[in-house]
Amino acid sequence: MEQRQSPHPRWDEELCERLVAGDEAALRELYDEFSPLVYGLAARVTRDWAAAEDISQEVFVRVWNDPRAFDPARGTWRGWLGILTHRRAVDWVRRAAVGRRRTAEAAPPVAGPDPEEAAVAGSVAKSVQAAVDDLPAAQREAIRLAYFDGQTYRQVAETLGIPEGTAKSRMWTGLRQLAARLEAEGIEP
Amino acid sequence: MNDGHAAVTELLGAWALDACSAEETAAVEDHLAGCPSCAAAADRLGRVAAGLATTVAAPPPARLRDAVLAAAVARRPAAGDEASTGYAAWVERLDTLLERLTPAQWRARVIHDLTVQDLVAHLIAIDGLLVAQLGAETSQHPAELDGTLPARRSAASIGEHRGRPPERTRAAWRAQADRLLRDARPNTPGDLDRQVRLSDPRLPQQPLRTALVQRLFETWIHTDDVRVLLGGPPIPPSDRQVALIAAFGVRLLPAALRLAGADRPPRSARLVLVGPGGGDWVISPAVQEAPTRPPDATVTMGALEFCYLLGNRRDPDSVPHRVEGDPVVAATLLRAATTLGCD
Repeated sequence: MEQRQSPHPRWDEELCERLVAGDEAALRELYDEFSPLVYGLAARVTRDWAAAEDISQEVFVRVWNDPRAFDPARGTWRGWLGILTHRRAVDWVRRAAVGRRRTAEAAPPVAGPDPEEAAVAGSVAKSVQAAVDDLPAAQREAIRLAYFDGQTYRQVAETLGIPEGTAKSRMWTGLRQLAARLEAEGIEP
Repeated sequence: MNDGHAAVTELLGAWALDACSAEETAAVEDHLAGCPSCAAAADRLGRVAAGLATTVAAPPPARLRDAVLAAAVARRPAAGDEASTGYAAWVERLDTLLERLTPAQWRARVIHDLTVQDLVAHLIAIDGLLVAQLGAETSQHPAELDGTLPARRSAASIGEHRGRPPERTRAAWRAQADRLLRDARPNTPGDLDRQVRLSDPRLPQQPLRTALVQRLFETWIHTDDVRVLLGGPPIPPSDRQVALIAAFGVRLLPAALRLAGADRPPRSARLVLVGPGGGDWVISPAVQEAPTRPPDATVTMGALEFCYLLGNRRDPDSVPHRVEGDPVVAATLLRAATTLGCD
């Protein structure tokens, strides 16, 4: 999917102002730009298409209803939508796990876009993917299990057979390395 | 605090990946609220984590788009709908006032030489210009597009209604307003974006949502006229309505300045509207916006006063305002604002 840098420097801020003003065209623009990101992420984490649709709807209704919760000084719409979506998707996974006593191993092999298989187009996605690929395998795996499978660091530790402290530090180190590399490339995720 | 700090630093990576327990997440966020350095680090890691999402983007089914937009607008109406509901509210208020008028009050002069009945007949003419563009049967658009169209329509309607029972004028206005609200109701998300002419056909065409703001605005102004006649307390528009009306004025001021011939040379002015519904804009009659130099003047005034000015219910010289910079540019701007209203 096409995922590019924000269309122009003040785009994120202006879009926020238009949403605050109740401009429905701004919501359509936001949806058209980022629905693949929101839906794809929700589908990957939940591995459930219906849940991905529900989460996408919740996320866009939420930003329409309360656009001021987005702070342009702290990041981009892409980042904010990613955060909102991921949290909902992870909540869904954990609720489902409680309901079904589902473990990561027993997760049904429901089709979903897989990071390895996803068509990684767009400059941001390509840079992020390249940076992830260059992480040490131990960090990459910890981040993958947490972010894309919705595991807690305790579950990650269990899955990988490592101490919890190690799981936490692999996530922290890996993310910092990703941040440094993307910042060096001038990419603001 | 130090303990909390160390524990939070250790959890920050997991927190950014939403990989903490609910209790830990709450503890981290409590700490972040009071610790700017951790908050900055957390924002940075959170942005990176969210960036991972770009690698799994996948297009949703096409039907999801309409479902999402409908759910959003059902939760919080779009501005166009705010205009419709606001217009409907003012129609209701004006109708309530008119219902109680005595025959003498119907004949009382309200503004200029117009009686209440004349004002309502005027509204029938001007609302009708939009109805004609929306209605299926009378969809053709008035052919004459010069600036005298609204005045001629208005004069014809006033002439037609004089001598009729006022009750019939009220009923005709109300029925047409209800029809306008029906016809303007969006069926699909893009409906409020369709281009229509405003009451002054010389102004550039505008989205229907903007035309509805104009109807809201004019109906409020005339409700206020009748209210003044009856000696009641002011019923100001809501803060959101003030914002909509102010934005309407700001949007059309460049065209109003061009119509007034105030675009040679194009001088720009900053307009600062204070109070609820206010804002801060730079207005230039230039078609190609190139605000490379600072505005020639800054005009500061109350947002609600600006709405009255737009309605030509304030004198541009005496309305409370403050000018910095070129007084001629400021005066031209204020005079142009009064031409966007309604008489």
